[in-house]
Amino acid sequence: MADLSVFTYTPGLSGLHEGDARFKLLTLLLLTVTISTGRLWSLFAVNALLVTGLFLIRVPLPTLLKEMRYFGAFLLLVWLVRALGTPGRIVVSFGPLALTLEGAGQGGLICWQMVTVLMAGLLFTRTTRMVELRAATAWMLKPIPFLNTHQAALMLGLLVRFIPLILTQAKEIRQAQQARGLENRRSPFLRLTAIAFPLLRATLIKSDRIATAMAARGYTGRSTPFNFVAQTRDWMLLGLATLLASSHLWG
Amino acid sequence: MIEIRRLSHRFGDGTQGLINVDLRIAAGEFVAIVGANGSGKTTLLRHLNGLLQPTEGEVRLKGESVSRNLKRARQIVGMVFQDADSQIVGETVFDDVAFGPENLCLPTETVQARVTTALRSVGLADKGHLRPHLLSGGEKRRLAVAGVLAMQSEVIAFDEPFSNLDYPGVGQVLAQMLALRDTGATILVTTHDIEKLLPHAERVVVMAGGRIRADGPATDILPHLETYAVRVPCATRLGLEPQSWLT
Repeated sequence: MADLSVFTYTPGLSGLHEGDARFKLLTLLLLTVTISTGRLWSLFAVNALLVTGLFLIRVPLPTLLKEMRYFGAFLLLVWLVRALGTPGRIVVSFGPLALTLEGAGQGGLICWQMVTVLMAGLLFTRTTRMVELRAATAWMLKPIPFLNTHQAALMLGLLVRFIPLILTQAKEIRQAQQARGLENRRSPFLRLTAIAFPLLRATLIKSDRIATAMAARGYTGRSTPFNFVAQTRDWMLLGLATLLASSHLWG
Repeated sequence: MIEIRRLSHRFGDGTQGLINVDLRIAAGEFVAIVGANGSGKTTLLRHLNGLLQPTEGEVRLKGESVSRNLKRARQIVGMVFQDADSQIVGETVFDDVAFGPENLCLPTETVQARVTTALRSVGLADKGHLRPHLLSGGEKRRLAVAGVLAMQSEVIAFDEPFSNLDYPGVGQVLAQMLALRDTGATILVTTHDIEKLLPHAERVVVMAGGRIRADGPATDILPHLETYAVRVPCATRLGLEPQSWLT
């Protein structure tokens, strides 16, 4: 059985699962705008909204934390760069490097924003089927002239759909290389290429197979139009997101 | 149903995949296409619905050339690929089966009705909400079959359907094939392992080097199989009747 990430769609009966994907996509965009402003109270409000959502759809916390460990290391790096690179009141110094209070605060805020964006993305991908995402994207891209919206939407949908599979493939290749003693090689470049090239080849082969299978099932870029049904709760969610985003812009 | 005339295919690197293949398959036949790796089995199947275009020759489905109407060809000939994972494009079992009918631009109600019927036919009716990648190997093959059934294909082509399957998985897929045959569908199966199909296939086509080397009832073909690098079943070597994997 495949080892799937928490960032993949998981069937469920929550309001978010049954919500209109167009509204969810617009809400995601508006929340991203709100998060990017970096205002503390709006970040708190968005986080409260997201945590409630994550609780409702029952995201397995241990799995989430396990999957986020590399992202956590990245966040630590971001925080350190900011904390050590911003002038201000020195908290502690390490030779020529000084960790400042202002830097630590700014770094913390950036990390918090990144985690919040990730949570919003998690909530969206975990509750939205590819077919809905595809249709919602096509709907949003419709006003753009000379763009094959169906094809663009399908590409986006497939990208979201296959990222976890590529990660699983990467894991398999890494384990296969480890079994052949890759860990004993000192050069980080060699260790990286030993995984990257087979992964690239495997991904290209898989893409080719998927494209063939899609063609065999009659894919031409056109399909049955998706029937969206907007309910009161969708409007309420969008209204809330609009309020949060606009309160920054005008407030 | 299927008429292949002097079909040849040369790949971009110059490799000759098929050479002068002539083959006629009647509606409702159960045909095993056997041969070693690289013998041209998969290349032949991919011409049936226009996934590959002939360098020379022609494939006709119910009297009309495949290359003239690819949409029609892909509706008539459904394919179940060797790598079931690569065939799955839906986020749930239900969505995956719906992919084909949606590509035919059918109304939503018709798509839903077809998907429900197809899932019921392959015994996956209670798994429509699941993620396809969590299914077992046999279930994934059955899901691929459901995808084909939902398109109401008359010909179902299985490419190495038993590879990477355990014993129960082989049984599930084989039972599904026989059930489809009983509904009147034309079944084509490529394999390099004839043992699982021998008691069921009415006709065996042997391929080697991109050509058809033998074609006829299994009993006539069996003595010549090993000449073309296809192993004769153990039971046959011992002078016994091959047994079905379903018994």
